[in-house]
Amino acid sequence: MIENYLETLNTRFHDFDIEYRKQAYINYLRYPDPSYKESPDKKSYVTITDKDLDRMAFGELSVSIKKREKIDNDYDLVVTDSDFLVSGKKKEIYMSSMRTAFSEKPELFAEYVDKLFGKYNKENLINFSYENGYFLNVPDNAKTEIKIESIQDSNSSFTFKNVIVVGKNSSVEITDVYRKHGEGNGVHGRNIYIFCLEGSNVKYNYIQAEGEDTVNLTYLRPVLYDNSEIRIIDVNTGGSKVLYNHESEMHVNTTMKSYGVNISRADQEMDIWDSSLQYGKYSNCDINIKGVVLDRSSTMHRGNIDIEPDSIKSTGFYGSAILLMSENGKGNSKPALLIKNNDTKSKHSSAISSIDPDQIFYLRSRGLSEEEAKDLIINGFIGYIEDITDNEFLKTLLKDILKL
Amino acid sequence: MVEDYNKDEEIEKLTESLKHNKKSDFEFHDTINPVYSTGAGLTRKTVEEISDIKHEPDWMRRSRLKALEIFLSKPMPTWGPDLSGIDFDSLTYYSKPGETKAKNWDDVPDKIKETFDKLGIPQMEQKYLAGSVAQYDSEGVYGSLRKEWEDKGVIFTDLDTAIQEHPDLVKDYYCRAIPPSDNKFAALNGAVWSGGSFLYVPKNVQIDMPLQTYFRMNGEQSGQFEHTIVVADEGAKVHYIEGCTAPKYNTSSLHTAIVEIYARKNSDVKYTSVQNWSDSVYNLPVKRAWVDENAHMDWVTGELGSKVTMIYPSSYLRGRKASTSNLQITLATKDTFKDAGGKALHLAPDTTSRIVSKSISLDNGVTAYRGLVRMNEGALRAKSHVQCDALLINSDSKNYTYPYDEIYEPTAEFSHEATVGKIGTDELTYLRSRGLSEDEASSMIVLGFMDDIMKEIPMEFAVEMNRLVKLEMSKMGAVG
Repeated sequence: MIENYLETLNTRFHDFDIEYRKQAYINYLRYPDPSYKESPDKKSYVTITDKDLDRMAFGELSVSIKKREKIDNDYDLVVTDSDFLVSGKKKEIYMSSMRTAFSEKPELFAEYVDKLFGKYNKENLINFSYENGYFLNVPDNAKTEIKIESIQDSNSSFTFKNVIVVGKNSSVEITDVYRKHGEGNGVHGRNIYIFCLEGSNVKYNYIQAEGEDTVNLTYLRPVLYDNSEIRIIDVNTGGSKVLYNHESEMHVNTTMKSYGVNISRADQEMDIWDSSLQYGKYSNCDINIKGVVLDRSSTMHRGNIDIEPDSIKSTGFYGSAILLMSENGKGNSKPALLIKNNDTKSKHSSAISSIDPDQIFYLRSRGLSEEEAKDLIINGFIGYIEDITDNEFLKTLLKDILKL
Repeated sequence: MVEDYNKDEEIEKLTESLKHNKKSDFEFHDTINPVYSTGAGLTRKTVEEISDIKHEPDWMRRSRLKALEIFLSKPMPTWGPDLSGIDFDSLTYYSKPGETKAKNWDDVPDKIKETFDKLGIPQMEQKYLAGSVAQYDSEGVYGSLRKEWEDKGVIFTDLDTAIQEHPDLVKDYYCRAIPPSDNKFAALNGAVWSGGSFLYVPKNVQIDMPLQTYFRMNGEQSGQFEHTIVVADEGAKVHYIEGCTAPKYNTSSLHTAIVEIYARKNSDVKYTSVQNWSDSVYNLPVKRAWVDENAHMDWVTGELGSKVTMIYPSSYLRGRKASTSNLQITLATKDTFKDAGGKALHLAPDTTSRIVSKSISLDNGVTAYRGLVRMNEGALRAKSHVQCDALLINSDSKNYTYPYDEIYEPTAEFSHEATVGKIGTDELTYLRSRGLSEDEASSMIVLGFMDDIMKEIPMEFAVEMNRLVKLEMSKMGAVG
């Protein structure tokens, strides 16, 4: 029971950020998820059971992933729940596990890690129970690319916390891939905090293709300091239940662009949030998210454009589109605008529908079979994501993961 | 028959007469002592007392008591605006202004008639309406219907009279679309309802002039809980209008109405309501329509007054090819919170819905759009479009938009769009370069913003609405 977790905290983590964990634990017990004062028939769309949360918090670690000697592919960092390998190619960047970073970089922990708890209940849960994770510190004025591969044992349950600090005026592209290993119904929780310091330009590509039976909770929290920019590509395909929650905290003169694609199959349930929390003036956010619903699966797209009173001259856009491809599929969207000053422009739009029969007819008249025509149209619908980047490594990865 | 009139000239005249009116003109209060009142507080005894004085049949009495139980057992909603200012114990739930209900304005007690004269109701009836009912506090004080419609079997009266005169008909429809168990305020209405209209249009009768009910709340710390039922039988057509005002007090009043609309097969119902309660009223009505095969339901609502409003007119599209359109203008002035929206539930194939909401926030007023579109499995080829636009006039004005879109049918098409912003400087500059003052230009832009909906509102309401919006804005110094 998570209610009796304090003992576990003291025994398991007494030497690893224990004060922070205790506060996170108190926050977890004290604060339920914030209510956006939604409507009375509010439903929690993807329900993560208490048992699954227990399994995740107490951890069931992998025994099946073999230890490697070194990285044998293009990645700069390979992480499993028992392994942590750095290629050594990117010497200018500090890369380590959270455990090591805690002892080696106490000042960075005090500055970034120990101040943020998050506002969601389960985000706090991950913050007090995280087993490990990676810590990256890109120095000021750097220009680089980092490729991270996380191999997730489907049979194990764990929580990870990843922290990326991008130095002032640095420009960096990070590709973060979560791949499946084996079969199983493990519960994987992870918080990813990205601190984009003043003047930095960050591209973050999140690709989740974990096991079909796993449960996934991901909280992505970019914090944009003044004059910084971030572009996020997020792709979700794996997991039986997926709760993906991205919220960017934005300060003065910042830009956040987020492009997402998710494909749900079989009995998958996906709840995909993309939100902005705009505190600073001249902050601009542009969120576009597309989903394809196949078989008996369901997809929910949510997102808030939250423009606070001081965030004048700001803009916010949230756009969602869901392609319903099956009779038993479900598509829902709940975008929200929370606008607290008048010197802003914001907009959201959402569309849910199936393929236009005219389009199929057109393609069939050109000699394609019904299935081929459908695939072509779906590929056109989600393929936009490949056009956003000119990173060949990412393009190949997307082609591979998004193939139908 | 009504003589033909020149529409432009009428608009001109109305505008002229309304120019001298101010919203505060509606906020006067009369010194009329009710002939009967239950006093403050809500108990089983209050409910029994209301039922007794109305000489109601037993089924209604039991239904009221059951609703009271539900009301007491349900918690207050925790979402939406703050409702902690409602003090259920200090409200007066029933107050009867006079002994009898008049069929002619001359028979209405002088002081009450004066009130309605000031509001322009009798004049309006002569010109534009096929019939009207006027309600003062808890009871209807006046009701009339042109003879030609009465002869065709149209019933238009207050609900209390209808229960006495057409008990079976009322029983067929009462609380079917909105049962007391639906929510706390539906239960409250179920327990203490009084007044409201009952309109029944028989098969294939198409009424070409609107019917109107006007609600006036006079008492301080009082509640008005009317229950309105509109039934358009197969092939019928009707346009029903409601208007509401109340005096301004320092303490809060509560308006919790129920409006149930039954649009039977092939019928066409239009419901227009312009609400201009004073800033001391909590306005929490529940409005819902059942729309059968090939029928059409039009909601047109203007939410201009009140301290807090929560209103979500809903259409349950129950038959093939049923359709609905929901147009709404919401205006939030200083210290007010208007939480409004629309719901469309697609339960049958080929159903269509359109929701258009325009919100304007002034000063620190908050407008919120909260709507639901649900397309159930089997609602083949259903289509829906939702559009909500908000204009924030002052720097501390706020708008929240919470649409809910639940699509369970792959052949359905759904789209939603929302925008929030202020008056564009480009637009202002353009108009100013054409010689308009800043105030004139802002005013023109705001009225243009509402234009889509204004076109759908009956002329006399549109003129009043334009004027009210202008007036509220001129108070802010924003618009002339």
